[in-house]
Formats: sequence, structure tokens, C-alpha cells
Amino acid sequence: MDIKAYVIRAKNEEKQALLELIMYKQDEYYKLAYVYLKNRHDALDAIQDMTLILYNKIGKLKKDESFYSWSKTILVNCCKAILKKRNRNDSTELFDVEQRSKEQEDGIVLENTIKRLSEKHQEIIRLKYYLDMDNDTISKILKIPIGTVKSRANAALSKLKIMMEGNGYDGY
Amino acid sequence: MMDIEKALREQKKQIDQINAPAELKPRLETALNEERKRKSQDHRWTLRAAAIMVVFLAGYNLNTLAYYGKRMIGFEGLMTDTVSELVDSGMGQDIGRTYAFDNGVNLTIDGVMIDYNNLILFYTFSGALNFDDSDKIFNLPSIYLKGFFETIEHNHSVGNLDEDNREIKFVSYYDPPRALTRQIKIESYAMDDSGFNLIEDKVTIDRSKAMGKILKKSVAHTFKVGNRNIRINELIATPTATSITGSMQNIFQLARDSLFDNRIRPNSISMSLWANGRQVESQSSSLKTDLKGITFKQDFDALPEDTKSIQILLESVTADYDVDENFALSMDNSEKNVVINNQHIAILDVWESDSQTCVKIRTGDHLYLSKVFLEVDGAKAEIAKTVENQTNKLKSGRIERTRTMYFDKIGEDMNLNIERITYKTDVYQSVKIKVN
Repeated sequence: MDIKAYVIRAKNEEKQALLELIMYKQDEYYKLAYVYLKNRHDALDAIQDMTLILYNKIGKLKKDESFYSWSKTILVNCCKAILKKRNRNDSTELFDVEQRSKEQEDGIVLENTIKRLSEKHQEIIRLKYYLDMDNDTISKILKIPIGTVKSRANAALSKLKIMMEGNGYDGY
Repeated sequence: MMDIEKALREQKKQIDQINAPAELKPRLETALNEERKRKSQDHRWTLRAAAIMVVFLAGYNLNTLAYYGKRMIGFEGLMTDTVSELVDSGMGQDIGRTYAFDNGVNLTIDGVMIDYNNLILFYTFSGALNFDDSDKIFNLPSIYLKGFFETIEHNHSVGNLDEDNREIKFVSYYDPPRALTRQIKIESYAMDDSGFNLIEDKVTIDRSKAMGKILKKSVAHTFKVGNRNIRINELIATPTATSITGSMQNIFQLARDSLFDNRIRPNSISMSLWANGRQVESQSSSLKTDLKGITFKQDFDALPEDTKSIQILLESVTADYDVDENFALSMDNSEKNVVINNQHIAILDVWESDSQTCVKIRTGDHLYLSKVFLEVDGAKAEIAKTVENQTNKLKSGRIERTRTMYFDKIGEDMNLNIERITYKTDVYQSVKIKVN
């Protein structure tokens, strides 16, 4: 896919071109929204919000090749807006099954512990470990220096470890 | 550390299985088709910012209002939640004595709370305060406490002037008096145009009101930070606070390093305390160098009642290091990079201006040259001034500071002598403390 060509078309208000750009990385967008919001309904809402912002703001994008990091920054902001608006504190759909395996039980403990980290530390854990993003990508999406990404990830992991041990959890 | 990473990888496997649902495309298509391009939405952000501001202000006031009705009215906003709860449950000793200074200012000692970590004094200044002149706030009488052959050291205070400028209330934290102290001597003096006016009184400590509950844990754990050790000695948890004491160097290590010009002077040791996996709020910290060596004390809020696990996380150490490195300088406009203790310093440019030698350098964000000289033709020049040029966020994300150092000497043969540098080292090591 010639990303640049599609971005230029999207800048010319071709809705189909913008849709194609988004659908080309639909799984990445969905996973990103999902790790923040933890349910399908909210994740879809966030991607829809992002799409409309992209449609209205794409004219301001200076570097066409930065479309995906720019759009993911917007998606992260949409996710945070939804989190604030709905003030959700529910458990995750991902693990919400009647018959839970040991791994899923562990997952609930881990996920509930991550929720107690600060918002900044939560997101760095989710992006780095759940989505396997490298420091450079996280830096671009969150608009923070790489050094901050590294130190924040280090701090988040240290705190998460302490919290898990504080839960009386002996580890994996 | 690895265990958590393994657990996170397990979760990642589940995330990897997630794919965008089929309904995404038709949904976005519909949304886009219904959307008309907006000209500008910038004003919406302004409104949102205003809304956030209102929520913040409202939240702040509600928090303050929630404290009304408590026994020590007026002190609510000055107490931590922990101390506030102790006051509400009747802890502490009522004093209620008022003293009048000649200048018309009255001092009321309202109450005192004592445990193994703190002596907390609640007091009020009222009368002829005349706080319309803000300098008067700094001229309030000072308060000194003495125990049995000891001065009780003051640590920190919080004060609040009421809306009508009629009284100012303080909550002051002191070191606790020794265990057998029966009486505390209160000394306060005012010194202004009307002269020196001393007030003295003695308060008998009601030990039945003192809070004896204490959790004292020997930690005896040493963190390795580079080639230095940071030792946590003890944790003492009482109803008002939790204190952690430790040392960085004993007097012999200090003397040895001084002898070999290899000293370290810590500026701050950043650590956090965790109880049952939750962070305990930090209150204050102190570092001192004396005959015991370099020691530190960090105070945190009280531990929760049901504390089952305690952990101390050493986050970072910022210190000044003796380095004593020399670098030849020349005015050939070439950039020179030097490395000291793994810290990079770029010497960007050297030039003469108005009988001064100017040296432009660039370093990372947390690095300072704390003691630096320029040797010019054998003579040593101290730094005259430093002018910050710019702070840059590079593409790599690294923050760099560029500044120019000015020395009042010019000449041919130049050496930059860096004797000391200050920088921050991230540590992130933790120690668990067993609770019975």
C-alpha cells in the first residue's frame, strides 16, 4: 500500500482513502484501543472518535509518512477521554469467562494490579509489554522523549513488582 | 523482575489473539459518511480546559469543606489524613494555654501529639497581627522546645492564615523527646520595634495521651549503586509516621574518600515506601554528613492498620562526585567529547571575548559541573558566570542542556579542570521487610 498516496488523497477529503488507511492497520488500532479500554464497545467508540478527528484534522498533518504514529497518538487521547468520561472501574472482558484457567486467574491479578499504577505507568506497561512496541514508537505516540519512556518503563515495572508481591503473590 | 515480565508476556499472548471485529469497517464508513468537515474546533479545547479548571477548583473546596466539624477547627487543612484521624479519635493532649507578647500578638498552644517518630505541636497566633503587610508573617515569634537536657529539633511546619487575617494556625513537626522526658519547656520570643520579649512555660507530658504503639524493624539491607553502597538500617512505624533511616558512608569511608579526593556528596536519595503493594505518601527527607558519616532519614505517612508486607524501593540517587579530570582546550572550533564516570560532556566551542575565555558545553539534563576551573598558561581561573543557552529535546528523546562558562583569563595554553560533577543515577532496586 502506498501510504503517502493514500494520505494525500485523504487530505483531499477522500473519505474512502482515509477509511482504507485505517482498515490497513485495523488490528493494530483495535489492540491499542483495547489495551486501554478493555472492552469491545469502548474500543470501537474510540476508533470511531479517532476516525472523525483524523478526517477533520488530516490537513494539518505535515509529514505524510507520520500518519500512523500521529493517528495512534490521537487514538490514545480518545481512549483517555473515554476513560475519564465514563470513569470506568470494571473488570476486563478479556478474562471475564466462567471457567477461568490458572493463566486467566493470574491475568486478573496482574491486570487489577496494573490498574492501581498511575495512568502514565499503566500505559507504558500496556504499550511496551502487551503491544510489544519499541521505545521509539512509544516515544512518538505518547510524544515523550525516549529517555522518559525508558525510565518510566523501568519505574512502572519496579512498582508493579512491588505491588504484586504486596498482594501476597509469589510470582510466576 | 523476570517473573513479572513473564506474566506480562502471558497477557500479551492473549492480546495477540484479538483482532478488530468485522463491524469496524461498516461502522466507520457510516460515521464518515455522516460527518461534515468542521472549520475549526479549537474553541472546544478552551472550553474543556475551563471545565477542567472548574472541576479542579470545586474538588479542592469540597475536600477542604469535608474537614469541617472536626474537633480542632482551623487545623483541618494543615493535618495529614493520618494525623487528622488520630485527632478525631481523641489522640493527643489538649493544652489550650494562651500567652500575650508585648507587641499585642497572642500565642495559643492548642495541643501536642507525641509518638516515637514525632512531636507534633498545634498552635495559633492571633491579636495584633496586621498581616496586610506581608513581611509581618516572617516576623512571627519563633517557638523552641526543650526536653530534659536536650533541644527538641524542629523539622517542618505548615501554617494557614484565616480569611480575615485575624489568626494564623500552625502544625509543627519536631523530633520526639526522649522516652523519659516528663516536661517540655516551650520558649517563644518576639523581636521587633518594641524590643525583645521572651515567653517561657513548661508543659507536663501526659504519657497516657502519648501513643506508644510502634513497629520497629531492623532492615540491614545494602543497595549497590555503582561502586557505592546505600544501606537501609531501620524502619520505625508509629501512629503518626513511618521513618526509614540509613547511611551512605560511615566516617571511615568518608575519611578515606576525602584522603584520595574521591568523595561523594549525595544531594538527594529518592525512595518510595510500599505497604500491601500500595505506595505510602512521602512526607519529608533529610541527609546529613557528620561524625557518623553520611546518613539519611526519610519520613512517610503512617502504615495502614492491616499491613502485611512492606517494601522499600530505592529509585534514584543524585550526588556530587570528586572527579578531578583535565582536558586541553583549543580555539580551533572543533567539538571535543569527554567522558567522566560514564557521563558525556561535549565541549562545543572555545573563544575569547572582552578579556574572558568562553567555553560552551553540552551535557545531559541531570549533569552539572559543580566545581570547574580553567588553567590558562599555568594560572588557575575560577568560573565567573555561566549562561544557559538552550535546552533541546533531540530526535532520540534525550534532553540536552547547552550553556557557556565564562572565565576571567585569556591566554594560549588552556586546560579545563573539572574537579566535581553532579548527576542523577537511576537505581530502582527494592527490599522487602517481613511483617509478623
